[in-house]
Amino acid sequence: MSDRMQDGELRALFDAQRRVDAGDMPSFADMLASASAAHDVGVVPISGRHRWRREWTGALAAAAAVTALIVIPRLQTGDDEFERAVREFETSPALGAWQSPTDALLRLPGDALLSGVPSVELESR
Amino acid sequence: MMDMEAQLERLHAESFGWALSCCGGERARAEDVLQSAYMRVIGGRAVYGGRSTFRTWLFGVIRRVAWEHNRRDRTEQRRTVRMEDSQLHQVADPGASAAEVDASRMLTAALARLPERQREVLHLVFYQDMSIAEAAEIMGISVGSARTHYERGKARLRVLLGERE
Repeated sequence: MSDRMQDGELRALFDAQRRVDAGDMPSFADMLASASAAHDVGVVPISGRHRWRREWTGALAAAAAVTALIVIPRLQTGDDEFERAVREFETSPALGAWQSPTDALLRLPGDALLSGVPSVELESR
Repeated sequence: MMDMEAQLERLHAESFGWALSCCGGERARAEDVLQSAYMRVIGGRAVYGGRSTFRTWLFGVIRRVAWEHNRRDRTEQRRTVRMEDSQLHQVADPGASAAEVDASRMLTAALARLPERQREVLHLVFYQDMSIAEAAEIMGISVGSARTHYERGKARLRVLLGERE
């Protein structure tokens, strides 16, 4: 049996399959109508994978929202406390006048000359 | 829109045969796949760019939709990939003889035992009367690869059909 003959036999089998397939083929109009109906009503089934993805997305969104609710107030509280401390430091005379006991060690002779501008009186010469 | 529907209607029988092949002969699933493919085309989610013939492009869309359905089903483990003869739901065409129905069943069962690519290229060439180059375009592979799948598939199919006879 030649290869061509065998191809012919295969083709005959496929032809038979084509005729059998055509037997129960839904009409194009019916298929289009059911497709349109499903589209209009919105009854396109949600696949398991999509359902799974949707559930996970919802769970992640909920977790993110809870995290935000917990973290953001804490951050705001930290900022508020810092601002309050700065305001208190600026307004309280006691805190503003406070000096470290070791500040005196940093004072050197001639500090006044370095920090001030000496005035030169030309008339005294 | 009407022009697109007219083109789809003209290719309906061939498209249904291709959808059946992509779904391993499961008729209900093939109808779902074809319906989804039509919705994509008519709804504009799949746009024909004119780079190939409309039939080649449409078959590519159907193949893609079938692949998505099959992957979803595999994930859900609702269906087995390999089907037994009893699962193949074939309704005889009043115009088809009993011998043709038997031959079709035998062929469908043998094709189900082939790798997907071999099954696809054989269907496109023998059932749809396409060239290997057209089959390659639909399958998204090179002509050389398609030819290899074609030759291997043909040889394997002959063996499988010989076992059954």
